[in-house]
Amino acid sequence: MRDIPPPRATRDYLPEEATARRQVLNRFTQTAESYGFQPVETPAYERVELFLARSGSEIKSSLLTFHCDHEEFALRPELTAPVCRLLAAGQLDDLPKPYKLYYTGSCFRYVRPGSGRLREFTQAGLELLGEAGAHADAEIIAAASRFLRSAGLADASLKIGSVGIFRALLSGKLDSEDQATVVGHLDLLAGIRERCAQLKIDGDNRLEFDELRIDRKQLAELQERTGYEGEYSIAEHADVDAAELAQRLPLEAEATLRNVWVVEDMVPEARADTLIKISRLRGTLEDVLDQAKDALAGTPATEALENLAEVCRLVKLYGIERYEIVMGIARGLTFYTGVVFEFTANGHAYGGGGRYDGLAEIFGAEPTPSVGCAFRFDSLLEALHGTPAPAAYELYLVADADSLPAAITLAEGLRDHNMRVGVGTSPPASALVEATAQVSKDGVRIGNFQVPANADAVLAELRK
Amino acid sequence: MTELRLALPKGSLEKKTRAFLEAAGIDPKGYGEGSRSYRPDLGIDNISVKILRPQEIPYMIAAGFYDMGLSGLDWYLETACQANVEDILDLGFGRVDIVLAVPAAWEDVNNSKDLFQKFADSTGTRPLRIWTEYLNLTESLVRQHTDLEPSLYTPYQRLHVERRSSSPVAIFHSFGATESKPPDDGDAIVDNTETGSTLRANGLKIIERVLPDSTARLLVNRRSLRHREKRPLIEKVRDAFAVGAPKRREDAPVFGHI
Repeated sequence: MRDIPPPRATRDYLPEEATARRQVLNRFTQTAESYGFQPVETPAYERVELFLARSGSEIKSSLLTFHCDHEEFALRPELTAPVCRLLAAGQLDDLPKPYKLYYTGSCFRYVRPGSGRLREFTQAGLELLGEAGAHADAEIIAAASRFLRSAGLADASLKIGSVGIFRALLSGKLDSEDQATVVGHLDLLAGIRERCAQLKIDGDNRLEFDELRIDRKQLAELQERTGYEGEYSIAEHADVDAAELAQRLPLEAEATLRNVWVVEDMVPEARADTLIKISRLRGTLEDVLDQAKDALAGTPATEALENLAEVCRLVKLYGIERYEIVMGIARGLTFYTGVVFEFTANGHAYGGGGRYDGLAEIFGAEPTPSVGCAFRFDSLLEALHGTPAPAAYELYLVADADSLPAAITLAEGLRDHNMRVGVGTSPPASALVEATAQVSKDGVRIGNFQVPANADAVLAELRK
Repeated sequence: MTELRLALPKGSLEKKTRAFLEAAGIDPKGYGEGSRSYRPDLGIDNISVKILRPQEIPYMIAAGFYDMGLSGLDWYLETACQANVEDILDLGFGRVDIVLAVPAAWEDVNNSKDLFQKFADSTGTRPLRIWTEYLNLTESLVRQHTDLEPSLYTPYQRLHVERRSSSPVAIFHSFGATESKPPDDGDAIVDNTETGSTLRANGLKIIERVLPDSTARLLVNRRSLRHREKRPLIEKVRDAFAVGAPKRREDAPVFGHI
């Protein structure tokens, strides 16, 4: 066969990277199990309806789908929906409650080739199903943080927010579809604020600048549709340079979205102001709590705020001090209902989660308060880049024709002690090997020392 | 030099296909402009073009008469030629749903299960008569919901494999105006629809989307795809069409935790 390229927007992992990935996955597994989470495995593809159940058919274009037997399937874009399927089908009924499950596996999404994202990526996640208390949220955040520390990402930045507050502010006359729209708008707003804050004013910012301009164009269309006229009219300030854009765009976005909510009768005016005010808050719990209390006084969101504070207090018990409360996080998801959190490095989110109390019902299960999180391994490994992978062999036994049988026996003995051992008549490239030993009829020569050819003696010598 | 044989659709997909070619800077002389010729000229070396009905294009490609062509997902799947023909690009236009519809007056029938149940309950009286141009898709639909082998009514009866003529489910080969058949000549139809308004105007209601969102696709013979000289030409045509294909908004809706 000649030159068959791999599928677009996928990649291969050769031993060095594959080893690093496996190590991080092992850390994840160990951490999850240390909190009592148990593994589940589900098919790599599901009926397409499973993934449309929550988000509706508009997400279909982001899935990799195929037809088989005239049925339509999708490669899984994530693993929470399959877990909910198990829950709804009663397959978890025999497990101890609350259900604490973890998973690792490939997920697939349609992304444009050349966008720098992969169509197949590895996801690892935790789901804690059937527990409403704040301690469940705290445990998930703690387990996720412990995993990142053990993987070598101690300075991952953790942001905690609450979609629950927004939902409470939007409850009442708002139907769930409008609610989802507004939460989506808030997420867009958070993203715009973040990206504007990071936009380089000098230097190469073409890509980021273009992306923000696309957002701005969409906002301009929204302004036109809803007849926005005011200080932040985009049409009247069409041409902006990077500095102006970074300064104006967040305010333009706030004004535009606030206007959409009011004009399209999604949110009453006073509530719209509260939403904007809350979404701007960020800092430590102490910084944020009083301002948020003031802004939310007399609204149905005080309980959600208290829940956020409670989760943060519990998180502290796990020794997690370094995090920021970012009230604007709406995490894009229409499914979160309470506290949400995300981990970022260099501006890229590679992990996140939150409470999703209403999701199980969408899949037909009994109401099941739940909280979970997941990590994207491709992004995470990028953040870890530079950590050297261990050599293939801890010890390589070089033998001649006569001593080969003894060397093979010795290697098997050492493997019983979980050592990575190789045998051959000449040593391989030094990069693959931590230590080399010569096996002869007289025994094993390690460095300047001669020891008998048995596993215990070799291990004792290596430990010295 | 080997020539790439491209089949372009006649009919409703014609105008939009032309617009795609123009967007890519190709002037398809004699296509989509009311010409009577069936052999337009794209002005690209080594690519010859012929205009065919979209129903014929998938099996003409499967048979190897054409290397590449443009047709709807519906006819691609109806032809069941996935083994020989690959669907390489969703062009996003010509969107139709293939639906199962019954008389709107049937209040007790609201999904396909209801329909098959209704006729199973009255076994022996008369078969469930489904009219369609999509014989294969309809047959799979029947088999998905029942254990029955449907009987088939078509002018080409003798050309078909022997069929039991007394099955409780009968598929009638329609040659158009399918929506006019029920309630007197048929009980249900499987037909394509853009908005559903024609069906509603004929007293029908949609009870299932048998194949939702069928759009125009660029199809390629898998053997041609492996041909050393044809492959670059195929990619050239694909890239030309990709210019106008809808860019799927990536990561638009986030799913799952991350």
